[in-house]
Amino acid sequence: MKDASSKPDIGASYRQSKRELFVMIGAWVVTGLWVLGYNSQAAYGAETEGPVKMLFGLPRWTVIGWLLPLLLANAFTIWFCLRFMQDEPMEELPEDE
Amino acid sequence: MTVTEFILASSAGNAALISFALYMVVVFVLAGLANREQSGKSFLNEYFLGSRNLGMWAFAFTYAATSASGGSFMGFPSLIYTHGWVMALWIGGYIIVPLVAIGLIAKRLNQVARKSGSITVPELLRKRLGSDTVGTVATVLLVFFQFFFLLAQFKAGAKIMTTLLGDVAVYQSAVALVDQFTAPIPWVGAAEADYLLCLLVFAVSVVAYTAWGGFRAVVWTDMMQGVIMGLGVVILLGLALTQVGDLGKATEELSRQVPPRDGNATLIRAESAEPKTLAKGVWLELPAEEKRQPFIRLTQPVTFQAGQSAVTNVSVLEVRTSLQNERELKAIRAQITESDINATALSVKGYDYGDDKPGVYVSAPGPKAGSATGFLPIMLAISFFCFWPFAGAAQPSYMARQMAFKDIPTLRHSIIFVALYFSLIYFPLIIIFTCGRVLLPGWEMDADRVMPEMATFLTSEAGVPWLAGLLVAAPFAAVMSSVDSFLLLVSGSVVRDVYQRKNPTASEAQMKKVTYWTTVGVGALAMLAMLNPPQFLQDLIVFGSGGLGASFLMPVILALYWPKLTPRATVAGMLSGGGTMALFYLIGYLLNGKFSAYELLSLHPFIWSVLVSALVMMAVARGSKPVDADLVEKYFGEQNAR
Repeated sequence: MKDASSKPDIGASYRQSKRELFVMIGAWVVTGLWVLGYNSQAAYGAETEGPVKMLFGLPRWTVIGWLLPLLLANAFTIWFCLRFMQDEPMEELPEDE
Repeated sequence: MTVTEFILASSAGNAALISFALYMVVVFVLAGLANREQSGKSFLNEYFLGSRNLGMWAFAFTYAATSASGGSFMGFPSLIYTHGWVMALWIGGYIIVPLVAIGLIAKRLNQVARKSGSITVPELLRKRLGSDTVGTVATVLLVFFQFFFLLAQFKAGAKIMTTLLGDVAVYQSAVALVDQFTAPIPWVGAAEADYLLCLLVFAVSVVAYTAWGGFRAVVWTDMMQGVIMGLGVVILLGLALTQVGDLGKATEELSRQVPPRDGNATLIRAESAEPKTLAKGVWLELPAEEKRQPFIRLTQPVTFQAGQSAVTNVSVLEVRTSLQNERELKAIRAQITESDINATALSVKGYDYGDDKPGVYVSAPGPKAGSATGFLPIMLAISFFCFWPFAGAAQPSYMARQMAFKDIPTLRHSIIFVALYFSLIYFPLIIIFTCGRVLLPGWEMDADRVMPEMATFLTSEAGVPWLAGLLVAAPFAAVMSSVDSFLLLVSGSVVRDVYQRKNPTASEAQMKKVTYWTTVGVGALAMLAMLNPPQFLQDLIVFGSGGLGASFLMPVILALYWPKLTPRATVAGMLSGGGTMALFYLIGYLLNGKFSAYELLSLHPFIWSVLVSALVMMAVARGSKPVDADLVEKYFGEQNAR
């Protein structure tokens, strides 16, 4: 990670922020495909299946289509914040502040 | 009184009053300390952004607490209770909200705000694009949509207090006094006296401590409120799981439930010379059917006059419980107190989707009274998956916090904290309130009150009624932490972006005076507007947050990441986004006769609004005068300015 105490390079900071933006949007897309893709079948078909299918006492689709992606999304968030997101030197405040 | 005496002697009501009073004392102490911190610092920078030095705990808690508003602790439980497990899909976007909603713009926003010396979002847009018009349009849209959000929180705060203090003798006397005083006043008298009193107390307290302590008080109280919310959910989850016994059995009972039916009935009693009043919520048992046991619940008080044996046209809710649902049957029968009253001439209407259909509470799209396609058709689920992360990213109240953290490590650690915090709040809430359908049936009659009712019920059943005070403080804390932030945001916009622009030489003393009075004025207006509130809290919240998201998402993202954005395109983007949102709600109102969104192709208006905003901005930017090259270089660097 960069030295947070050095002078800010606004251009480099902007480009790095843009890279991080694309990775975050990618993570959102993958999560969406999983949650909505899986549940479009599992949750929307659950009512016609007869007795409710369960896992850990919860409807099965909520565990596979919600809880599991939540755990993985949290793991990804931790990796992203600790490994991928770069520290940047903070801008000085203007004189009138 | 010692703690032991307090615990032993108190009823749920008195304990709630004491817990509430203690809580308010702490809030005001924090506000006082924050007020002392203001001395010797730039008033506006300290009052609205806490001098931009929020550390990890402060930033993370204030973000999480502001986000988990009255919607999370009142509207959301009410929706879970009414529609069941499909709410997991409704809130599916929250799986990734902390990363996207904070990470998307926080780093750039903080840097650009520092570089420009901006305190508010309209100010940031104005300075980034070098246009006063951009700032003015942003201020108008922010105040308009944020005000709707504020209104919903005022209603939630008052509703929680009515339940919290319902059993307290002093409170009941005060309610009777308010009723006597306000009943003859037109419009004001139409509101229920208990709601009116609580609305007044809530509004005065929150406005007072916000105005007194400013942003730092809001952040400090948010931290305390965040802890209370987290603790509240964990305790509620423990109590709900203990009392339901076996989560699997509760889910099975839920899967056999069918939605209730609304309608009316005639109530009959044996001849009697005594008058008799049945309170709202009274249960009556009807003759059993082959597989179900029907009950009715009164949704309004009913009075038999002396000698009167029948009352016609009584509003009721019919709940048809499966004979296999032992826990639910037991819960209802335990509440039946009237055995000499019978109901006849029952005329009820079922939900348009889910009537007499077991399984609807454990599957999608979930039951719904007013729609044949259910609560959450798949297209709407897709909409909400987009809505929560992106509308969340574009909320000016969150942006204000993103301008205030002190450095990037604070941001990185806060995102992780918020992700874990939200995971411990939202999924447990769904478990708690789906269990609530089994433990506390029949609350569809006033679903917005299910959270405090559950807290009171669970703690009483567990033999710890004094704990209700802490549990109900959780949603109350959630509401307060949102209201104080929104108040500050609206007053900040008015003071910084309107008053100071017109009076650039105003002294610090004048600015202080204007700031305090603006905060008080905004709070008073919100209170007046909420004297007769609409039924569903969540509709107002979604409109307010959706409107803000639609107005600011694309303009702010492009202002931060696209050097070629022009002032004219920004104005067009804000107006077309916010305007499209308002238009869809207007169409919804005209079609449905109530405050609701028109969902073109089953997509939430937020999606259409953001699409329209993005397309309009791209088109207008191509044909309008580019922004000053110096400004681009200032915010994007020399290399990117070319």
